[in-house]
Amino acid sequence: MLARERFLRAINLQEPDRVPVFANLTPQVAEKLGKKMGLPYEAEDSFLSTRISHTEILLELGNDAVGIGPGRAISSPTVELPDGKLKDEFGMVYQRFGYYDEAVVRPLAGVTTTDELDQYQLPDPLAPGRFDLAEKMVSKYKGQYAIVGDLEATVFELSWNLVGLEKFLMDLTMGEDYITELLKRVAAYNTAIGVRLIELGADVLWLGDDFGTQQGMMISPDLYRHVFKPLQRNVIAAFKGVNPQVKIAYHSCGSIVPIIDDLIEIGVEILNPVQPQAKGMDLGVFKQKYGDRIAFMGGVDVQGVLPNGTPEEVASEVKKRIAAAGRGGGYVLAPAHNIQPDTSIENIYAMYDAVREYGTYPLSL
Amino acid sequence: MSLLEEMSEWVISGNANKVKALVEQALAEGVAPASIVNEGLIPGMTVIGAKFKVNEVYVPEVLIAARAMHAGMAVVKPLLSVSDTKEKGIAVIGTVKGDLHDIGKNLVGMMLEGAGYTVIDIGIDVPPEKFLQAVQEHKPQIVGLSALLTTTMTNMKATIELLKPYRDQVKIMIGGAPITPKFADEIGADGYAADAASAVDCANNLLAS
Repeated sequence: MLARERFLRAINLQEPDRVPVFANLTPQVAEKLGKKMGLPYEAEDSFLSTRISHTEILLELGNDAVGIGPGRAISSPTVELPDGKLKDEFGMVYQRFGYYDEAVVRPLAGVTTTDELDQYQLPDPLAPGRFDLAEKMVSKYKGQYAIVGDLEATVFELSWNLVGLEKFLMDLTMGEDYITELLKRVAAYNTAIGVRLIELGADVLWLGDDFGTQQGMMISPDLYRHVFKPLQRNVIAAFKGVNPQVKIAYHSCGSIVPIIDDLIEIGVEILNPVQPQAKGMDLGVFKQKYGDRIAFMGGVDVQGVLPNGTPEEVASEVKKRIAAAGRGGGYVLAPAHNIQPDTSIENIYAMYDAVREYGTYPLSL
Repeated sequence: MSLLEEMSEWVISGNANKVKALVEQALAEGVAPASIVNEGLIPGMTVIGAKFKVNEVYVPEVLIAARAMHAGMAVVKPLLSVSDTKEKGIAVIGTVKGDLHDIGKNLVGMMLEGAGYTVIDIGIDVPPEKFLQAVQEHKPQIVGLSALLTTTMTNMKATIELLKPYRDQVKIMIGGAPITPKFADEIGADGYAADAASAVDCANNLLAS
């Protein structure tokens, strides 16, 4: 069975030949693997670079889908500043801390009114060059692998990234006008990008806004329903309007138990990543409760087993997740986040091997 | 409702302007600065902490409540006498080396402050040596270490090892997304808290023990 069919059957709640896999890597892990495998490991220049990079390595390992997404416009590549920091087309400035590039300057950090917001221009979603890489990847992999269009900072997350989280949350709660306007503009920006990814041939659009912390919701479920749910509903409706067959995946880290029904209601069909150490995010329970309506993508613990376990423990983690969610299809095995730099290559191989061993249908778990 | 009760209510609802105005009014009416802190501002944050723990309020409400408390504190703090400032304890907090994530650490700081601790926040990406310096300089009773990443959790262990000579004076508590009580035990921390409100309980328990 071709990888694409395997992936699509699973997300259509049917059993393929085996549980499909879709993992992503941090740059450090990609470098280790790329050197070992003799494959390129450079990251692509994009706001969500890890989701669309390292494709050859990931397919060689056993991924069944390819991530595509918007790159930078030709006119506005990310530039290195004289002090070594990186500045991107949004006006975000990143500095390297340990393994990660973290934002240290946010373009809307001082904004308090809609007039001030008007001084800031989001990049052109359809600027020349934005989809060059996506087009290349689609023509190379279409048909053979499922194509997942990544838009994981759909409304909340890109917006707060431009402002800063604490200021954004306070201004949101105080009902500042510019927040409403910013959310609308960001949603429109990502809608334009998502529509283009669908036109290019994406089978899945992978939306996302992180509303969970390890222990529970970051904001109240009511605030989510009042502010974000209507915007997300519109974004999803726009995508379904372009192609009703496109599947909608949704990513939120952390514990988001109170809003899962809401997500299903607005059209989410694949829930990701079901972070296993986050409170209440129990794949087995969710399979029982929601498994006839949505598929799951994720489940493999990156906060414990994958970085710190033995290869045997990784295999048993994979077995456990497949036993919880694999029955009848509806499950794509994936780590709950990009595989982190402290994870051994042996554990990564063990994860893929274990899917082949325990994930073959009919399941015998 | 008394003036101080009203002040607490405005802390709870996060109205910084009202809190500031009420603190000024209380001072004008001759209310003792210590009473303003202990009977007006802190009780408001205590309520927020309790509600946060049971998901009645969430991160944004904690942030605006803390901002309101600070607006009041800024007015009253310079007026506190030396005896008034004999506070509950000093807590040095920071996010460990290699880790830039600060919202969890900031919430812990707000909750501790709201519970009467003096909080010295030494920031993000803090190497073990800087924690050591802060302990030597500020002589805290509590040190709080935060990490979001599995790749930086290990720097908690390095920090705790460096603080070894001070362990009879300082209790160390840790927290952050990937942290578990088991990990806290393994690296020799004195306490673990799952969230910012529990961090106050943890600090209180450590000081009582």
